[in-house]
Amino acid sequence: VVNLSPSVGFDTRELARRIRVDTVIMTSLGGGSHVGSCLSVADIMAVLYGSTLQVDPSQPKHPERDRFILSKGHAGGIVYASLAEVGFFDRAVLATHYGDGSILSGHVSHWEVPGVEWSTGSLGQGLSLGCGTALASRMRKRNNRTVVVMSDGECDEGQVWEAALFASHHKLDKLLAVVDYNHIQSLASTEETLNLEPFAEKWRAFGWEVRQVDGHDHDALRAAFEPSRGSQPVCVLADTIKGKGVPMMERSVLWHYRSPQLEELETALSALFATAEDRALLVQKDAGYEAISIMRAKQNA
Amino acid sequence: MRDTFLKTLCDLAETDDRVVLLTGDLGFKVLDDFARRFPDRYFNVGVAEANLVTISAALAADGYRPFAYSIGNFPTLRCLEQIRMNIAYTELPVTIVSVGAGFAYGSLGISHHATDDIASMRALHTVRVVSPSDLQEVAEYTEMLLTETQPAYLRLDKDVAPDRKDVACAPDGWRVLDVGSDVALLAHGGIRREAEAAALLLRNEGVSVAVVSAPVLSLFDQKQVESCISNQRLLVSVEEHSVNGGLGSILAEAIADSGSCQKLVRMGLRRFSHEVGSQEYLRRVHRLSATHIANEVRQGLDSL
Repeated sequence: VVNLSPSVGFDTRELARRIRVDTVIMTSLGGGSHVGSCLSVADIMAVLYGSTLQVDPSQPKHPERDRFILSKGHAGGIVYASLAEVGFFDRAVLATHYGDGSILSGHVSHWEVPGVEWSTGSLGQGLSLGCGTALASRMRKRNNRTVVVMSDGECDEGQVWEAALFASHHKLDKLLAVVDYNHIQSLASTEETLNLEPFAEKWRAFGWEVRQVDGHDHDALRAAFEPSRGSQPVCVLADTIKGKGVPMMERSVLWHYRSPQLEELETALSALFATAEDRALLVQKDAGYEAISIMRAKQNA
Repeated sequence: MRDTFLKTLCDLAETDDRVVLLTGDLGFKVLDDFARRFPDRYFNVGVAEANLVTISAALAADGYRPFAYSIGNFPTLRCLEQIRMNIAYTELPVTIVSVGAGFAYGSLGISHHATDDIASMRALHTVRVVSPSDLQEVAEYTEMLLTETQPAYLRLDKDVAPDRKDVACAPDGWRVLDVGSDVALLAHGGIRREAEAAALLLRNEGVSVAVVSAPVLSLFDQKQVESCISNQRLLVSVEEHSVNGGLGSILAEAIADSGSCQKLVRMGLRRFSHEVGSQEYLRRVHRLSATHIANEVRQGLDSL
């Protein structure tokens, strides 16, 4: 019998801190965007990969695995960091993010990256992928769950609501949607741009079991990620702070795009209590490319 | 074509439990047989084409062979980017099926004229585009697509040309139906019927006309296609599709790639159609009837 929960035992708060550090370093080294979006969803990702998802880094394609889909593909950095920290691939690879010849594009890509199910980045498609994935699991009579993490801004997309209708109509009770509700989208707040409220009522009206939680409270998130109590899909509206963990980046539209420059990087790393081990990533670009070569050689063999 | 496709699909689903049929709420009555025989493998996702193709992609990722069914431009242009991201880039074996090629739904208006679909689908590197011209091609390509492992777009017309059982279909090639030395008429879709009628008119005038059916419009065997058109001084493409990006463009590219100096006349649509009328009427309006084709050939030969 395969142990599909090797991540049990992770201190999810420490995991959240680590993946925050990783993404700050990654976006700084590669000149990448969306660090605020990564920090916003870090606690959600840490609880998912540290305690909820039944996945095995040594068997990323195991048929019984839980499926994770990052629909807000622009926060690809936090997925790569989560996967590396729980053992899907060498952490040094993170240092190549955005770089020439890397496997880690800004928007998450499944190409050559163990543990990534789907390439996203065009918003609004992940919940449909989740519907199809959960449907396929049901047709194959498997018990695994499908988890989709979305942004609030992407709920402007019509396809999200096509999928929301489908999931509840077909009672996809093993589908969990988590909305990173940080209230900031590309140019301004969600309230100013296209108001989503009453958001919870919308999901309820579409037939979902809705849970509203503090998206940085790990115990609350863990409880919210429990399976459906009835036969409906579950939507977790996780109230979050964009840029959470680095004060200068919090609640700021600027950090949707900006990558940390030298002094900013140091400020951010201090705010996140980065250790010497954490900081090692700063000088691991060559090791990262070496690790990619090894991964490719293994895949070819 | 639609009925032949669905009968073939039902036969295939009988022995292959990977086959799943999804519809975007279209196919009144004609999907009933599949739905009744394979209720666990039939889904009407509602009027939601983006969801239709993305769900199909996820089913394919789990080993199923989804056929995503709709009409006109809805399963193609409407959700082009979902096809690109979730099916084409991922190289998943989803077959997108559109009924009502070209002007098949002519009187319904511009929304239902599928005349830019091939250009859009064949631009996606991994998608095999198939536009059958007769029922034999519909049945054979439906079966072939199931044996392959790549994304596909199957374009089904209302009009059909007569079967030519004497000429085999190839998964990645074209069919030379009639040999000739003065001009080659190449067509896909039911309009091949008009091309054949034009060929008859021309033969009565002593012109030696080759007729080629070109059902595979992407990922074809370049050499095989070149062999179909080599040794012809004049090529005429006939299609109920924009001249931009369809068979005419494919031939222009083939000529450029091979470095030959053949003359090519591209017959197809050069503007959107605001006129109201049947498929046959709109063909005449856009100068795509047998008479128009014959005239183009005469002029083409005169100019050589």
